[in-house]
Amino acid sequence: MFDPLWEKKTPVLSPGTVIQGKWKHQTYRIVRLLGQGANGSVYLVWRDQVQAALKIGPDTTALALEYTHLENLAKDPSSTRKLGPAALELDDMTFQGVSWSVLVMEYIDGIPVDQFIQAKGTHWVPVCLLKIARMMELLHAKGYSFCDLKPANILFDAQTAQARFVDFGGITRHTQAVKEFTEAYDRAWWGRGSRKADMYYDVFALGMLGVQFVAPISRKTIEYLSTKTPIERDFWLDEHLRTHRQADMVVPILMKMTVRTPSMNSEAVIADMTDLLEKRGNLLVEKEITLSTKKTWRRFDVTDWWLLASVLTFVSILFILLWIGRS
Amino acid sequence: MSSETVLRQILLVTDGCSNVGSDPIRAAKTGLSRGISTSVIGIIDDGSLGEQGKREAYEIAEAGGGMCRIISVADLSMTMQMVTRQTMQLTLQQVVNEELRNLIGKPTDELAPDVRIKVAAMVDTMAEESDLHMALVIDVSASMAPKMASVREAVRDMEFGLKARSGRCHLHVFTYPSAYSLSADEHVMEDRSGSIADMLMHIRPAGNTPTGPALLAAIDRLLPSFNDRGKEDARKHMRDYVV
Repeated sequence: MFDPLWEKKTPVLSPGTVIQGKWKHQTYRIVRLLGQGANGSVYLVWRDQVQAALKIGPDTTALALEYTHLENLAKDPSSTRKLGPAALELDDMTFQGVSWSVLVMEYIDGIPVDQFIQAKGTHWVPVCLLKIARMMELLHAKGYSFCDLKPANILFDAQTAQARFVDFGGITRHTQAVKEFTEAYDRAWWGRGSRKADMYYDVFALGMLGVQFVAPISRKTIEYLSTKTPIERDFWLDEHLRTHRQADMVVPILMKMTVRTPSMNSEAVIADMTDLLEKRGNLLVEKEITLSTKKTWRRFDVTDWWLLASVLTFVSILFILLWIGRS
Repeated sequence: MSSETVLRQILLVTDGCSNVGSDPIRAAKTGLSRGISTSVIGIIDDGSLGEQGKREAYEIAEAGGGMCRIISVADLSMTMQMVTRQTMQLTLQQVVNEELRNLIGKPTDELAPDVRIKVAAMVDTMAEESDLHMALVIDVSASMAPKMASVREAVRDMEFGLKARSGRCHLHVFTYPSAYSLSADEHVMEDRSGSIADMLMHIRPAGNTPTGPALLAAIDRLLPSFNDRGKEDARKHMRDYVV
């Protein structure tokens, strides 16, 4: 009668395998495994001549919901900034006699935000948080929270340095209970609020993400804290942030983001991060990465003018010499 | 439809094989036949679960129409909530499938994706709003002693998670072996958040692993008729426990 999920773990698809959707008859050639999430494995595939990400798993409901969320986000014309991958197909496929649900999405070539910061340095933390807060703002305006905000779910596009959310399985309508979460980023686990989805839930998680970059809390510590009550965890976090107050200029903002009685929405986070960046004078850094995709002509600067002037002088001297030589 | 749906499920948390009393697999099967699904979380730390325990965990979940996860105690909190949520979805999907089969003669797996999307949205809303009667059956035999702090916090965390839902929720926590009887002790969720978890603090893990009788006690409690029949009994039992 029942269909226990444990019996159906996700299938292992080797590179080069060609699979076909049951309903839309689209074929996909497997390139490699990208990762494994709560609802299945994600593979990089060739879909016609374009690369795509294919998520395959046993839970038809979860994948259908994720598809719906991706579709709804893409439908809204007012948001030009892309939050996540575009949904391509929801389908089924049969592999070795077992039926699987398949969700095909646009492939986002990027690295998780923690690797991005590791490569660039912690002075990029405010820039990253700012970019994520901007995406959150768009999501919150539609009445949804992302909820499972952890490094693996936020990719920085290698080409545009634009942040994109990837796993949309945890996305929850406001006032509903949070579906998926990770302890270290969960407001209720830290004893600082409920587990109902609202925009402050995401702001808290974003704050904790920042904490992980500038004052990391190890997996061991989380395990140790999991035997403590939420009140003790709350105290511990207070203490942790206080001792790391001097570690980075961003810490006071992170403290504001993670307080028990929420005072900051994503707009306030954006404002505070912008302030901080202006104060540190590296707003230029942010402008530079947002401009890097546009292929605009470089403006003439002082060096260029000098170069032009010297070339002109050289040519005119040459002409004068030629004229003297002739006469 | 969604507001009337009542879900009844058992979640068993154990770190060993049953060794006293009736057969837990049969108990899970009995539960399923009365509309109560049973899922199992096996804890592998210290290696007391073993191959035999793992097999038993899978078999109980299979007989009970639920899920089985074998994990280390550090992941307990998250797994408990994931399993609860997924079992709810699974059960609801089953209910919807049943109705669709009556209507159009097809289960959801054979529906075209665009129809399935609507079904999924419905299942999601029902999982949020339906009435949940849940029994958490926790093994507190001697080997669980070093894990009790984690278990206690996982239960507290679970209460937070369940309270965030918009639907009503009745959480019963059974610990076995019982300090007073042959099966299990029951703890009921009070108004104050985290109350069950605090009760667990006073338990001294000791004794055997009578998984079967504990499951039967939980099934008995979750059955719809219990509320009329057994209110007096439960109250008496609670008084016994408090004293």
